[in-house]
Amino acid sequence: MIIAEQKPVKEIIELTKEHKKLLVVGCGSCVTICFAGGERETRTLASALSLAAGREKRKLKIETDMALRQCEWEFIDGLAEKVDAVDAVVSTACGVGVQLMAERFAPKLVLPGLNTSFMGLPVEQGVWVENCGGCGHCVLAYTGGICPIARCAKSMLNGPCGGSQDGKCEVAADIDCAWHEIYVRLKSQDRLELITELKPAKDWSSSRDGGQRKIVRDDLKIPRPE
Amino acid sequence: MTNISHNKLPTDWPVPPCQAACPVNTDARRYVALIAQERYKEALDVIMATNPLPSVIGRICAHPCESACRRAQVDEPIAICHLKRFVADKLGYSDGEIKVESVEKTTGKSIGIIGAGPSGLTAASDLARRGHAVTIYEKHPLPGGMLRYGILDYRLPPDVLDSDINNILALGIELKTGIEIGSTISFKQVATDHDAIIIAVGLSVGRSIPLPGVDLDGVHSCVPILEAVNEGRQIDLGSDIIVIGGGNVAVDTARSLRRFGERTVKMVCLEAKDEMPAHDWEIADAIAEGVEIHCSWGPDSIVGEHGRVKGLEFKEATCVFDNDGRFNPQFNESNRHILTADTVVMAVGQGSDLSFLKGSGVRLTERGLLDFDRATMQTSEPTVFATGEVVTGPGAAISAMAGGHRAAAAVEAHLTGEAPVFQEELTPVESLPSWMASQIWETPRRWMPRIPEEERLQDFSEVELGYTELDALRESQRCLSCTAGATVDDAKCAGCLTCVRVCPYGVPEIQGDKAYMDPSTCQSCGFCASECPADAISVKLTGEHLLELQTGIDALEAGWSPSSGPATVGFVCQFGHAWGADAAFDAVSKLPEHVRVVRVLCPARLAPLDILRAFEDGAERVFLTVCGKDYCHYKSGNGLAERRLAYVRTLLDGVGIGGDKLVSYQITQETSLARIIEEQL
Repeated sequence: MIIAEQKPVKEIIELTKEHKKLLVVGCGSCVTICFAGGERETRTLASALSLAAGREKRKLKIETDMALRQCEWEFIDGLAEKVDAVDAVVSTACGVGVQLMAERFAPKLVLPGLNTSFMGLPVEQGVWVENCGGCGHCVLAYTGGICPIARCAKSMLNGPCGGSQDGKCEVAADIDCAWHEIYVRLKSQDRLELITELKPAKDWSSSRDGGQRKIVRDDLKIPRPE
Repeated sequence: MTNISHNKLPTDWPVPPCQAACPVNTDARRYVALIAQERYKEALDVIMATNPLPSVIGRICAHPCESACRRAQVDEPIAICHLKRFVADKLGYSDGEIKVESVEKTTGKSIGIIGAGPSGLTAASDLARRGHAVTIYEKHPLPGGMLRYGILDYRLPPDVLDSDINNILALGIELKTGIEIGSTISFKQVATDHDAIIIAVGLSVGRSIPLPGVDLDGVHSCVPILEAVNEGRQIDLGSDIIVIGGGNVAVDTARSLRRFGERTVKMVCLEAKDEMPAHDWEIADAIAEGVEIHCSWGPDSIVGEHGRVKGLEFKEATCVFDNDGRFNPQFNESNRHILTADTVVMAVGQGSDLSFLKGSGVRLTERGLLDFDRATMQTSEPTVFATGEVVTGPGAAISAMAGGHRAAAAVEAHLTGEAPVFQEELTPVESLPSWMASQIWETPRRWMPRIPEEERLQDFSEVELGYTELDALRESQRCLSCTAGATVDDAKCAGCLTCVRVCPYGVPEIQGDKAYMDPSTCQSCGFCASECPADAISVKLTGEHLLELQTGIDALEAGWSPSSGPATVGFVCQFGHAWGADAAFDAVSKLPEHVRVVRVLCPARLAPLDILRAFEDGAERVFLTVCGKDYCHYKSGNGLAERRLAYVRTLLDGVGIGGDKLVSYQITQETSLARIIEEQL
């Protein structure tokens, strides 16, 4: 899922302090689960903004609402009336949600409340790690189910590099070396020969280098009336 | 919330065992929780919603609620009965300090109730509250029935009984005492005077066993003796007394006779000790007070000399009940035994005197009992209803009261022509599984202080002295709050597993893709609810606590600019402190003007938002009391609370208030909140 974290409250105060009427809109899926922008966090953020305004003797009317997923047109349509009534919206969705809100309700100002961080998972309650780079061409079949794109600092396809020491990455002592992990996993699967096969240079055009990516499924499209 | 609808609570939510076991379905869980929060007035309201005799029942109830209490699977049941008494005493209800207002008679209907015992009084209370004119006819000089004439003062002081009854009568009920229906006034006349009649005459006639020698001088029935004792009349009894019977009335008779100077009092009963119908605790008290109990003996004949009792011959009872559980005593005729006595008191059951119904049209059965239909509570005459022991046989006072409610509902239905609304049969939650029972802190039950055994026989002073406030608070905190736990709004639940991970007891599970907490095991701590990122969980019990939180916060919103110091709100752990019993609190007499305290079930139940709200509403400083690492009622709430506080401090730093304005104090159960306030704030 998409992992995000709330922007420092100070930054959100800065972003919003010119506005007298705010709507904070949370999102009920990924960012709820990672404690960044669900109902609980949204209401807490609104309270903090309200407190800050009170301290600075600013007038602020603040409301909160939720969308099941801010990345779907239909789920945000119902917010229109509330959005109309405010000066600006703080979206505590991932960047996808913020953008859709901004587009749907343009020219209303929609501000991000979160920093969208990565695609990952909680390794324990309160700790999330990135596990997928979204490169558009999955190599997990050859790497024992461990992603070298996301988990290797250099996104190497033929690792490890010389900086791997005692299973750790040279970038930081608490980062596992992805290629060390791949080695151990392939060995346990008795498929270690895969690590010796040289992978050719990756075609990054399916990743971020090819401009905004798009997937089209003609079979699923519903023709719109002219 | 847009796009998301809310689920409703399931309708088949199980009820706590105490409530299901209570004949009047008193919501004991709720009033015990309210006591734990020192919300005594609300607790009394909950009690009185089903029980118009709280001070009485708080003393003499057979408390089936406690027998059903699931805390017994951990250590000992909650002292629910003692807690009821505590509330009634604490608020002065049992001293007549609380006055009940009369209810206007709006229906133009009049109901006559024969008998001012627990059943008749309960029916009278219900009907008066519905706006009917109610008259009670009582043959004794004072109301109360067996509560007054069957239960001795050392268990139920008469002024306590008077207080409860006066508050029932204060609803506007007319009480006519000394009225013997059938002689003072005819039943027909009473029937003519009212739109409906309820017969609630109880079992006020003592039964006897037709033994040889039963006509000798010195043979008595227990009923007139108990009446005489209760009325303070002198009774002429010998000094070597045998009470025949093994029920509660027999025990009461024996215990009261022990209070009349130096007398030997022996009880003899057919049943083996563990079969005796009297309550275990009553038997233990009787033995402690010097009553000798001879079990498994059946009386054979009363031995006399010069027309007076000299002793009683017994034969061994080999069994009392047959395989079907029916009373069918068998004896070993060859094992006999004579006990000396100059007095024999029969306490072998009671019956009703229904002779007043002769010629009334109200039919009796061949066995002389009322022809009665429990479905409608009616006798053979549609306007004549019946309730209590006269139709059920002997039972607990609270069961008689349940009958009173039922009779009132039946009369109401009869008068309005609508279907009767009887109390529902409740299904209790299943028993506590051992894997859960083993996770709960063992905390011994608080026993009520009592007069020392050696002092009890001197007079009829009440033996049980009542709880101190500390006793009551600590005892109420033992309640497991069965089935007041978490419910999930499926529409909001994101299936994030947080509840599964945060629950200290391992209760939540994911069913399908939504969280589910089994109400039979959830301990109602509410940690899942305060941690849930989707705000999808609500907890019945902590919902009530949060109400207090809301009330406290509403009070802040009303405007607050104290002069004695920075406005300070304290969220204090209910289990850490016993606020009302804090002796040091007396020393500082009152909270300083700048400090407001809100009790919370456990500080881990507070979400970050709850703390921020206090600041939003004018607090300049917030403190929490958090139990130390050695004790948390809910196992891990202390650690959870501390971690959450650290997070809220970062928010406060960001906002500019400063995290240092949020302070926590580590406490133990002995820590005085008053001292914290005095020394730190």
